Amino acid sequence: MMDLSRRLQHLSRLDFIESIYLVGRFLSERLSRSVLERLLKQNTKIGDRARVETAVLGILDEIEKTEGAAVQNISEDVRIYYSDELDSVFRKGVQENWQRVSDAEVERALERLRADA
Amino acid sequence: MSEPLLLYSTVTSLAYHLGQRYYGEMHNVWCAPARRADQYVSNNPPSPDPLAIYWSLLREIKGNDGHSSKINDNRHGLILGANGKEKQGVIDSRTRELIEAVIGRATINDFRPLFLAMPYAMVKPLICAPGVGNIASATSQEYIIESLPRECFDILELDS
Repeated sequence: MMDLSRRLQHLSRLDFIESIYLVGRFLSERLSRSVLERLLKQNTKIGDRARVETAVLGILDEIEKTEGAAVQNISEDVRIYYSDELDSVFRKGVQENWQRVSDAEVERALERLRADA
Repeated sequence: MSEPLLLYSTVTSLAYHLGQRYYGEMHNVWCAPARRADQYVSNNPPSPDPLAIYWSLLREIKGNDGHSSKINDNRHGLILGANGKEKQGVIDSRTRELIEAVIGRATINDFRPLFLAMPYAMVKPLICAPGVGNIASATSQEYIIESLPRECFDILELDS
């Protein structure tokens, strides 16, 4: 099993978030590599473009090498597996901030949002 | 190519309510014109087609097996968006932390899709970039609007 977090370890929090978001979109939308490279140039405007690009392309290279296929040819089940793995890495990487907010405050905010619906 | 009459977008309920409550009733959307019926006119491929995204999200929510790559993407994108809003000075760091915690705690039903319809003439000046559809194919049309005011669109729920 590959360690998806390895290429994300030295990123700033913002670059970490953006890299996982972009890898996830690439997987779920089965974008071609050339589309992804153009998407990276267009979308990486929140974090550091070069660092995000290196992380995203590095993770995708590893996934394709492990699976022996381009992402577009990987089955949906396997893509969902990687999406869940990425989500798990994502939560571990960002949730320390969430713990600074009390459970009661989060519940109140969620209830208010649901009441708006 | 003539200009479309309307643009459409699919957002999640959570994204919409975060925009309404925390971002000054402004919304970040990817939108596209309606699919054309004419077989000789190019259509958007499935990924940027708002209606296809709507039904796909709804199917995943109704299936509710807890494994949805689209909902994972949405969760990550909303958290990225909250960090962007903090960077722009729209919210402070405390509010960003609350929003992140809310997104992290949200359940699958909080991601139910909403279908937005907006007049092209009204939103044309707000379009800031072509979306991935335009990158993916020279003939598909998709646009990004980073700050879409609430008064510019109607909301439809296509499933009761």
